Amino acid sequence: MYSTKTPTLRIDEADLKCKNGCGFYGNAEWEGYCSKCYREYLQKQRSQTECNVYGQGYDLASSNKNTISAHQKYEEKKVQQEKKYKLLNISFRKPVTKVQGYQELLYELTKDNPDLEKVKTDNRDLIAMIAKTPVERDVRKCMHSFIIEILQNKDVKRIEELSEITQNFYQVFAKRLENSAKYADITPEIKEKLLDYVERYAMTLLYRILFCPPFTNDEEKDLAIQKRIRQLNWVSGKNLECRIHETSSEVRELVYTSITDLLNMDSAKAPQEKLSCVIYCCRNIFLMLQQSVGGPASADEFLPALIFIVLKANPARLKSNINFITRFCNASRLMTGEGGYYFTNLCCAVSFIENLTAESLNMDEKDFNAYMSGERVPANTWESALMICESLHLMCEDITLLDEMKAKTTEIMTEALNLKEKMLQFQEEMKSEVNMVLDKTPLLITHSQRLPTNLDCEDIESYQLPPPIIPQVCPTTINNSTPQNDMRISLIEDCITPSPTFDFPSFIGDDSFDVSKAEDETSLISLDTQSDFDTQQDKSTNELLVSTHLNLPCSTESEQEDYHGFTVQGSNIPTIPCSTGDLSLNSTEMDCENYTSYFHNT
Amino acid sequence: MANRGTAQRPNGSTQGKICQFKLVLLGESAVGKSSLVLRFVKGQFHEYQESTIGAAFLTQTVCLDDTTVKFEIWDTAGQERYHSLAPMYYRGAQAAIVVYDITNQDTFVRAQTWVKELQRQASPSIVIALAGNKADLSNKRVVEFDEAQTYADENGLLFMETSAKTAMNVNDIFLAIAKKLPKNEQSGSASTSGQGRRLVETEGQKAATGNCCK
Repeated sequence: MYSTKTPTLRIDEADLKCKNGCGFYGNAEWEGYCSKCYREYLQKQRSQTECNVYGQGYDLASSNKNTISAHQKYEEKKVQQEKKYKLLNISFRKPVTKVQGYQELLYELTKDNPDLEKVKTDNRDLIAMIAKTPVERDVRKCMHSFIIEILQNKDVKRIEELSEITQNFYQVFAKRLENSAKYADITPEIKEKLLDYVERYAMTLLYRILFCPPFTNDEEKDLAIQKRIRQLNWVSGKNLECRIHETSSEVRELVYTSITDLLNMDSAKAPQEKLSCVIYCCRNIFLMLQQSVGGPASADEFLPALIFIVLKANPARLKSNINFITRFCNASRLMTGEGGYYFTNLCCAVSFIENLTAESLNMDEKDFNAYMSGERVPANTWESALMICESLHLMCEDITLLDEMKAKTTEIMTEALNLKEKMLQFQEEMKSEVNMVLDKTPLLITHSQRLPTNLDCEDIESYQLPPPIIPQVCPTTINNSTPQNDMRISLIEDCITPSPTFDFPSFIGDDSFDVSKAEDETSLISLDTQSDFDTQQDKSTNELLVSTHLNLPCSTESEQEDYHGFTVQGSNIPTIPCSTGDLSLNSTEMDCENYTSYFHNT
Repeated sequence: MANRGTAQRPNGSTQGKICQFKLVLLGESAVGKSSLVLRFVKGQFHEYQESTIGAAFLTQTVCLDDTTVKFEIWDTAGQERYHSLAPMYYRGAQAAIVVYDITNQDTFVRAQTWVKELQRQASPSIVIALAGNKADLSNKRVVEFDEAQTYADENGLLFMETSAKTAMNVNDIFLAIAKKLPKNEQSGSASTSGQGRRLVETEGQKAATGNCCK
């Protein structure tokens, strides 16, 4: 509003007159008003400013108050990261809020605070569990009175006193959880969670008030350590004697992860969240050291590595964060447990960096000073990978990848050569073996045993042969072989070329047909269309049998007599009559009737 | 300080006290501080399991009659250059093991400075144990047993020669410390004033007392 009403540089007659149009001449010092109108204008503006102080327009008003002290700081910070600048700017505005009462401040802190919402959502289960119970009311009451106490005292007391109030609150609240009847039926685990939740909620809410407050010198210390770390950017892992394999990409990845974890500390709000960032960072350092050391790392390796990580990370507002944790984190957490141990190490690392001398890096005083003043810049592979440019880093990675691929290719090549050699060897071996065998058993065409046969001449040997065999049908053989198909097939072949197993003469003219014969006859006569291969085979066999002995007698009587024989063969085969061509029709009909009657009977 | 988190616990689990102690390991680097702890906590020596990622912070529980003693073991960096940081580690510790290497005279001299410093700066009730490690290398021995024993007696220290490699006396020294530690509550004792006296967090529970530790 101020700037928009500033007169432009074009000056003409009208511009010289009072802006209000009262006819008097205006003055640039009075913003173009005449003295009377300017006074009025000023009064109006003052009341306006007061209305806007909590609104959009308070930037200027607040910066007016801080211009002198803050400007220098601002200039200093300009060189810092944009993000850090923004955050620091918030703290400049704080004095403005002094005007408000703590109730309004509380409202302002609570309203639209995404971090607070996050705390709530993270603890949704816990809140739901205690919802609408005396526990919830009591927790709320305790927390509220604590927050109010802090807000009331924030400008009156020193930060140490505020810290004491907080620690006392944690203690009293923990005792209350233990002893109060209201919490009697709550398990220790839930109590623990409640204590955690109260701490996290209260601290997230009061973060703006308690983190790096303007009435402490935290900020100066932040800048000092930041500057110090920047000065020490030449310190390498070798200087610290920490065993980090900088060339391994896996280790490098872990270094980046732990640096990120440490940087995250600044964005976390509650002290325990900040502490867990430190824990993650340290765990990653241990993982990294495990790779480099080849076993679980001890503190001898861990502390230098942590110092190295802190140096490379240069976390924003490191001192403020450490102070915030020490002041407002539940003291029990800081003194014991993994978190406590790692936090102690972080404090040690910071203290080491602050007091670092040439001696503590085992180097010459002159060299140290040269490096510190920036006269000399050590060539540092790590630095180039970390700071200079990403593409270089990518290139390094690509080179390692290529190296790996090269190694693989060489391996494949040697393997291929090996294989080739083996193949040649195999060929040789085979050759010699074959030759050996050939030597052992030379391929010679010996004189043939058989004499060329002259069909026309009389063969003397043929006389010595046994007389030709008369084909015979052997009933038992057929019977036995019926279930076996292949046997039967062989039998068929035998039938075609008459073999001694078939005693045909005995079969012909035999009056007493035995069961097997009857079977053969029946299946012969009645062909079954639905029958499977087995029966088909059966039939064909029998057909063949018949065809070889066309003169077989066909006795229907005997069939009827011995009919039950069929059941032996398999009554479940439905049959339909079919002419076999060679047999008389009437016998077929007869058979058909027999079958149907049989099926009816069964 | 013996700290108890069990006494007022309403829901049972109170049979036997649970005491938690912070124990600090001091000594020159490469005397085998972490090997000693790894042997005590994991029963390992060199044949490390994948799960053991670090040997700097470990916990181990020892049962002593009706008391369960939980040791929280804080390893410290032994290098000379980090010597000045040690007070941050042993602040609030109830026990300390000063380790030296029996094959190295310097480490024994260094151990003596540690003991002196602890007696001067640490909590007055701190239980200090002296451990002559690498006892399996007795053929290379430089520091005589009697010499160390005399020193320990003069200064009221627990003393044992240990070997992380053969596990000799490793459990014994921790047990001896556990026995010597006071197990009755002494909260609010002046001895830890300004050094962050506190009660203990056992697995699922913590009760906090004490002021800020810085």
